[in-house]
Amino acid sequence: MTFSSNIHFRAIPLGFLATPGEHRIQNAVFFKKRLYVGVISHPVDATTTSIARLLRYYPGAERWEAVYEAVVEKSSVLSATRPFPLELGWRALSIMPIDGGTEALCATLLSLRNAQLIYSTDGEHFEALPAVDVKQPRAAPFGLLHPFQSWLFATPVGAMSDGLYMRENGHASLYVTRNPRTGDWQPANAPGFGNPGNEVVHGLIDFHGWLYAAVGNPFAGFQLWRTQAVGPPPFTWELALDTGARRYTLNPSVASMAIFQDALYLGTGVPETELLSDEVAGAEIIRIFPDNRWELVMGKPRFSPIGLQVPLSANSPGFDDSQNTLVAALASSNDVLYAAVVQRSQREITGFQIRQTVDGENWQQLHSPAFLNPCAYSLRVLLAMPNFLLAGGVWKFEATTPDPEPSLWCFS
Amino acid sequence: MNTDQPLFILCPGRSFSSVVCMAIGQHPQLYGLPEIYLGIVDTLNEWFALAKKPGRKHMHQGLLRVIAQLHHSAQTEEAVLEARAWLQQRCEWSTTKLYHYLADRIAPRQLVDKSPTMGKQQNLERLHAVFPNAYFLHLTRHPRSTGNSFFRVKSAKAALKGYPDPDRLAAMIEKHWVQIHQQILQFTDHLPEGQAMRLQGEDLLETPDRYFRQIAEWLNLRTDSAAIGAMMHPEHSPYAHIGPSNAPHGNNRGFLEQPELKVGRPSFVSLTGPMEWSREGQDFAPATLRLARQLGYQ
Amino acid sequence: MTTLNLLSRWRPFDPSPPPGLHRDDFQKIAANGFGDLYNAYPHSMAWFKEHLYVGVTRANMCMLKASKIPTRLPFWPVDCPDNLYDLDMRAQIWRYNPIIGEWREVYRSPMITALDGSPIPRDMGYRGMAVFQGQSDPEPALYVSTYASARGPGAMVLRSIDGEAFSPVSKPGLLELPITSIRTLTPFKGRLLTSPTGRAGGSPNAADIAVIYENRDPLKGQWTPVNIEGFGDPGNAVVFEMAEFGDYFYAGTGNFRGGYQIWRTRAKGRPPYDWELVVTQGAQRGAFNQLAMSMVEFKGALYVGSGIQNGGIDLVNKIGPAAPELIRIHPDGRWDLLIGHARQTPQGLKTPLSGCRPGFGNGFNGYFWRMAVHEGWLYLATLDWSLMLYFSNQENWPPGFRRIVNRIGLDQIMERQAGGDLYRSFDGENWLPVTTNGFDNRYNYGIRGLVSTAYGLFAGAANPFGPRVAVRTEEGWAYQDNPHSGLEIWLGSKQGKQHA
Repeated sequence: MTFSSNIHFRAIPLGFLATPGEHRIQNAVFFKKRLYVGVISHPVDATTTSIARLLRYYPGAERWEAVYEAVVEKSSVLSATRPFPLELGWRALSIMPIDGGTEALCATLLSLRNAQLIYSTDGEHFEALPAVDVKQPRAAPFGLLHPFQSWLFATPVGAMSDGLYMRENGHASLYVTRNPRTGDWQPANAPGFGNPGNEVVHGLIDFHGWLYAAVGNPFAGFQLWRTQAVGPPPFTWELALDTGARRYTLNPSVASMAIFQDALYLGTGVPETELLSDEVAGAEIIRIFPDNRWELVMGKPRFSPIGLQVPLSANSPGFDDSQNTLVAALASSNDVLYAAVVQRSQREITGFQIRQTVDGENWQQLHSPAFLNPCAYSLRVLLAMPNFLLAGGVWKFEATTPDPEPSLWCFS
Repeated sequence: MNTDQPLFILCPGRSFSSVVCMAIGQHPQLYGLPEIYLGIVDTLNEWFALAKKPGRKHMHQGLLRVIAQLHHSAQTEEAVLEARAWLQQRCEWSTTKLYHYLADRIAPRQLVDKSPTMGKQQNLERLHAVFPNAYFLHLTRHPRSTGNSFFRVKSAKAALKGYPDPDRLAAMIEKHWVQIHQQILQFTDHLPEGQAMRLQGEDLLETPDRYFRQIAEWLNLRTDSAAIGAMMHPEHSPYAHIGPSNAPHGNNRGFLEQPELKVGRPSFVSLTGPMEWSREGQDFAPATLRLARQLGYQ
Repeated sequence: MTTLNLLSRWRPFDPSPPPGLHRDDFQKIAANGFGDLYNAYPHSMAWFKEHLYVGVTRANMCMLKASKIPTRLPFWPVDCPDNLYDLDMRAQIWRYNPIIGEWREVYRSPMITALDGSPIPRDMGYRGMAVFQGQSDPEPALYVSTYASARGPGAMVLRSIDGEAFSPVSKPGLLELPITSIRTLTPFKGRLLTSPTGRAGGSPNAADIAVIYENRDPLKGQWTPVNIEGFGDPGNAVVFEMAEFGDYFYAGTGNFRGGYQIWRTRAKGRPPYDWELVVTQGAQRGAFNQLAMSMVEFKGALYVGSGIQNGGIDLVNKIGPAAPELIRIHPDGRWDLLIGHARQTPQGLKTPLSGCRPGFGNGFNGYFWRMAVHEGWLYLATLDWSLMLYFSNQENWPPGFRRIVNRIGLDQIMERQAGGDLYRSFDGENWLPVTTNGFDNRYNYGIRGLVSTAYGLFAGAANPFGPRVAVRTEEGWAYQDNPHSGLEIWLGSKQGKQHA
């Protein structure tokens, strides 16, 4: 059963980004009581370079400032005919514990010619490190960063192929280091987890003492691997779920994960960080328990080795709309789970919505006049706190758009 | 289930459908039919015409056996003659009428029919029109095993008849697999959620009780162990043996000779490598690979 | 929950009918007229006190030869003495104990003095049987109606309490009527009903007294007429068959030129009762449906099989040959044509629902002689006169008929088709043969008795072609011993088959 309700989302204008062009809010994290948001801005003029900015916001003060800026070549500069398969800009924004019980802010910034790992202990001063395993000369730059136990895990960026021709070795690799500043990265798994169809790690999350890696596999459907990172790397990994939860290539990848009420929720779809090579099916939400039992929350009814899977929400894929092909983000506070659902086709994005549930099974769509802004193009980021939700996405302003002003949305 | 909610099993030939249909049909609330070929024509007159083509006699035998069994509790030569006469008297009947006659006859059980699609979308639409509330089980099998099995059967027949072009047969096999599955997918995609489900035959054969239980659950039928246990015995079907001399088959011959459920995963085959039946040693085409992977094959 | 309920829960509903009896399910439990080859017709059969009772008529072919019934046979099929009464014509009653599989003769007709002073058997056959408890009967008794010599005082009704001693409970000729046989005895609402069937002078099937009599207490009471003569139609020569169905008592007449009529009554008030005509003119087929030969209730309808007397060819009235039809009558009086010729009726066009032409498409079937319901199936038994072709004068055959027979071949007909048929149906519309050649004995030219019991379905085959039968030889006709003659009793049972 789908309910809906009207919610007043408050817009937090990102004032000094008020320029025509495309502004992609890519990441958001709280660090030392401040909100940090990674944005890449592509001006309308194709010849002008793009700029990646790390913005900081003081809740209460209603003021933004850019704490880090870098020039990023526009992908279209390279080739006008063939789209670049990867999204540039902020690929990770992560908090890692460091010695002395404090934390550091880590980010990866991907541009065409180089990649950087940005590191800061105070949020003011930033150190740029090579975002790649220097021991491997042709290694892909890091995308995700995730601390687990006393390790920082990194995954090379990548895109799933078209699902037709498998490479010899899957690219879904993980690296770990005790300290990113030393550059001493070590492999944390066998390449592709031993499966040549495993192309990319799309997500990392902690759950019940395990680190879970969501692996995109366009040949057989996503896989979910987990490790407790015991002993020296590479670690022992355990397969928690595969074959796209028995939907095979119609669930090639997991785009979002969140923990809610003692279950790990997976939102499927091809994330916006890579191009769609093929038309895709309506997205699903699946939840998995620590014993690897899984349930279909929203999606296609099917048979499975652990029993008949009928969506607990009674919603078919895409919350009953097969155009909703991507669960771009999942976020939970203590008592609410939110999902950002995006209509993504091979050509374009045609809409988005936010849904919430208090039991994981009955979902309610949140309507807001704020979402009706024609320049609000997509949804990328959800940040949930108790009684509080931040949402951010992609803004597109034409040169003629009056008062172009991207914003974050917030409701409490 | 409500009245008249048969289960149709949809698949290309050589997809374990005989044994699966008969096994599912052993559920105490279901009734498995042999191959009756009612879903591919509109009237009994057309049905009678089916077997006029050479090599198509078998297309009558299943229905003759069903009528003989349901009318006379016997599948003897006399009963089959009577069944044929009975059908001939009703040759103006629509197949819809006969389908509903069968459904009424076996009620409160529900029909299980592995209706062939013959590669035509209209045959699927026809089934849906006959029973708008029917359930559809899309049964799959690895294209390599399907193709090998198909080639073995067809090339033997082709050799017997001096079939002119084995290459055409080889090319047809892959196309046939893709086309029929695509048509089934296209058809089932437009049905309300839950009206159609898909199942790998290999999974079913590996742990049949597990999937029989889920099928029963899906169809809202009894799932107790007696009911599921009954599904493990397709050989108990009245149609799971060679019939009388005037209707010996009406189902896959291998099944009729050995109707027991052979539990165990069929040996693994891969999508990579040349198709055994292709003389040029061609690999599967991209469209085949894409579809096969979507159906869960590697 | 009882065990039974539990079992029924575990057993899936089987939409196939319960298995009916196949030819192979039948075993011959009596042959050669119980060892006396003159025992020809199991003319009546009933289940009484855990035994099967069979009333026997003897040497029917010899009786026919001695009768005034016209025939056109060039050489009599059976070797008969010039004087019928040189044979022991005393009718017998045999009974069968299915547990020990034993036959015993329990009764034999006494001899009486004929009107001309000669000794004759009182009963030459037992044509009807019924189990009935009259007001003075301490328990259900077996009632038997007789076939009497034309030289004697007439047919009567006997009664037995113990199944061994049989005593008359009617006057000869029922009420001293000039009748020689009584075919039907049918209980209904506390009464036993009957009607005279034949009279002397070559009319074993035309008493010309189409009156039904009832008796609530045959031991002491009176036989009382319950209808007016012939239901007011002089064409009704006989009430040939009777049955209870629903709240009604049904009577089927023999009407030689117009076709049978079916009448019914609730038997309310004092007799004669109000009768309602349900079917007339032989169900609109006319004289070819001459006699209502057999009637039985099956699954909410009354089934009526027809026949033409004397084996399907009535030379007296010049009717036939024509094969019989089957209809069924619904409680509201509507009727369906099941086996027969499509035709217009006042209720519109009726086509045979079984798709079968008369006689199951076999023109040699002369009667639908007997029907019985057994384990959910309706069984229908015929008389098939194919065998008589063998004895007949081919020169008398119409040219078209001769062509047909010659094309098939007389030997083929004798081999494959001669002998009475037994068919079964679960719904009255779809029929399956059990045997179409008299259980593989061409001399079993009809199946006269069918009795359903817990031990199985008993079928009694009429076989009057002994002890010596006419055979064509190079020198012409001659009589030879016939080891396949004498009545046979068959028992059809799935269990019997398993035990065997």
